[in-house]
Amino acid sequence: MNQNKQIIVEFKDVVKQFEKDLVVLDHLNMNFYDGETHVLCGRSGAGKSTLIRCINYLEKINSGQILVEGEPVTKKHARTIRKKCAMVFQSFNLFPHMTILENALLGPMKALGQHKGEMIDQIGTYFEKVGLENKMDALPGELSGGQKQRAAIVRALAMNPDLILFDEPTSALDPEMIGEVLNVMEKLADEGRTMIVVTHEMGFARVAADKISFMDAGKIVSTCAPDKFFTDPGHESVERFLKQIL
Amino acid sequence: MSFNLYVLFDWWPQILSAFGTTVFYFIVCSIAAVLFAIFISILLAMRIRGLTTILRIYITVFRNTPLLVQLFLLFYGLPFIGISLPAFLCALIGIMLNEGAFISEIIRGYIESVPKGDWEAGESLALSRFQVIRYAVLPQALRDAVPAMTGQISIVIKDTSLFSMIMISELTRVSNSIYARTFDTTGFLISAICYLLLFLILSVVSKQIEKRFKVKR
Amino acid sequence: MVADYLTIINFLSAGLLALLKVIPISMVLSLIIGIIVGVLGYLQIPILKYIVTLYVTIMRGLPPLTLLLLVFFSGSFVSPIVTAIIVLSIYHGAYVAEIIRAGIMAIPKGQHEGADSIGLSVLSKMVHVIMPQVWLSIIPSLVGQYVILIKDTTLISAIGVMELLNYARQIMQVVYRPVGVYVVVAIFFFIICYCLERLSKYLERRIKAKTIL
Repeated sequence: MNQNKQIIVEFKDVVKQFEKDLVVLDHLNMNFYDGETHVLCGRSGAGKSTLIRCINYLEKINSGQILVEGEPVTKKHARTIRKKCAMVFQSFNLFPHMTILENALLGPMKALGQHKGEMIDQIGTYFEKVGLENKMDALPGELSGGQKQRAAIVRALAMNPDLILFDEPTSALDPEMIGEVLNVMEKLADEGRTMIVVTHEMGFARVAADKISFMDAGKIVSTCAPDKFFTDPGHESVERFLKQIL
Repeated sequence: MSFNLYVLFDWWPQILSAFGTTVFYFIVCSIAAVLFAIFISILLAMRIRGLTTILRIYITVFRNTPLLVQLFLLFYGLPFIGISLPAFLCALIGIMLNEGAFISEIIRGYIESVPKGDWEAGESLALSRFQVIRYAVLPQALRDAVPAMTGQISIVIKDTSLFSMIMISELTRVSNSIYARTFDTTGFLISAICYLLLFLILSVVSKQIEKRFKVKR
Repeated sequence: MVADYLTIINFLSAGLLALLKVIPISMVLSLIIGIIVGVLGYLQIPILKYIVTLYVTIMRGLPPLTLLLLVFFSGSFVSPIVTAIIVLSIYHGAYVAEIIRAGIMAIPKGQHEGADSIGLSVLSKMVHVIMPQVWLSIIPSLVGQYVILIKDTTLISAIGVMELLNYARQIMQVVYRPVGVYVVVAIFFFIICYCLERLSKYLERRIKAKTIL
């Protein structure tokens, strides 16, 4: 099923450890494909967040290699790779002194060298897409958590990325705001955006994911399509995990 | 210690011009010190090996030696090695280096307390380290630092009194010469009132600035 | 050249004598003033509280040099060194008072209520319950204030106390090396102030570690 799709991110025997004996990614091999929404799930501490932070060079790996569109993730290539893959954080990390429009304009203008004029219409449509077209001039501090995260998604989209990384985008939200963010993410998945999503929201995974991977102790234990993942994941530890959370 | 009005009547032109000098030096020196401190704290945040060590040494030395000695070195010391600067420049450079060290230490503290996630968000927008500092981190840190910085700037008002020792005719020097002519300390009382007035004006202004620049998170 | 510097150091060490009187005495006196005014400031006693605020504001707004000259020339019967000690103590006492008041304010309300609930008087509450807890937390800021006090002793040269800068001026008649002389003076202050700064950072870490545990 993967033959007709391009590999966008490739993990080759990647090891990442914090301190001496805390291995977070344990000789990990994995391919992520263009155009797919790939959900990573697993218990806290399994290494999911570290995995996607390594793609963006927010964490340095100890050995092995990560390729993004064929380019190795190293200090030298960090900026070119970051131009291609945007990131949405658990705690939004919007810059509090700028309006959310300015937040969204910062990357395209300063990192990609685009002009404000050519960007502003496109960013406007993104704000419409997430339902914040009337809030563009608000400061992050004036918004609710759900609105902040939707603005952070616009900031990621504004970079026109080939890949968007989501690091537990709903974990810091009050329950009533989770839905509005997941709806936006589902829309993006439907558009065929390439996304790697770390989340505990199994409902979202079932509806929006093309593939689901289960991580445990620094390894990817199982990767399959959602239908199969929820009925017959083919691994005992996944079944135990699903039983606990569903 | 009594207030004799005749001093004010006889000497008001000198006092007025001294007050002007004090205000002028205060404003120019504060601006220079703040700009210099911002420059230093950007360089520190860039984490350039070697340079960071040099800047740390500069800050430590200037924080831990008296301003008056620094001013004397500039005013009496430099000519000895062939560099003669006018008193105005000695005063300006002295405050810039001295208060610059204190203010950059304040800004550094606030830069360090900007959440790590904001650095990461900037980095993942493919900004360079300088751009992350310039656009994402420093503007927040400076806004947070406003109360501490205005506190430090209020000390610059007092620092200007030391300029009397390097031949600048500001309030304290003029009061001193009034005393030398009349043996009346009213001049000192007048300058004390002027300093307090400046201090109070600055306090009111800085409250306004604090309100205006507060960062909501 | 070495001989020049020996002369310089020899001369300057005479100036240390004055500082050895001024610095410790001013430290102690400013602490005493600071404790009294700081506690009064905290207690917010009617009328008195305005006097406390006025005193603190004036000291925060006035240059110590102007204060030294004003007091010295107004009461010319007092010796320069006594004037220096009085002015530095009163001036830095205001800052110490603010440090102590902030320290008291930082003590959790429960401690006050606890002391009140066992029927302690205000005085014994302060002495036995609140102040012992305040000391620890204010030591770093107190040391920081003393560093400023030590550097401010250069200002007393203006009223003729024979300290380092006035001796430096005298040396200049013998050995004209303004850079060398002032650098030696700077080094002297640097050694003392840097050690105190390290000490205050060290204490701050220790205190933090203790309160977290």
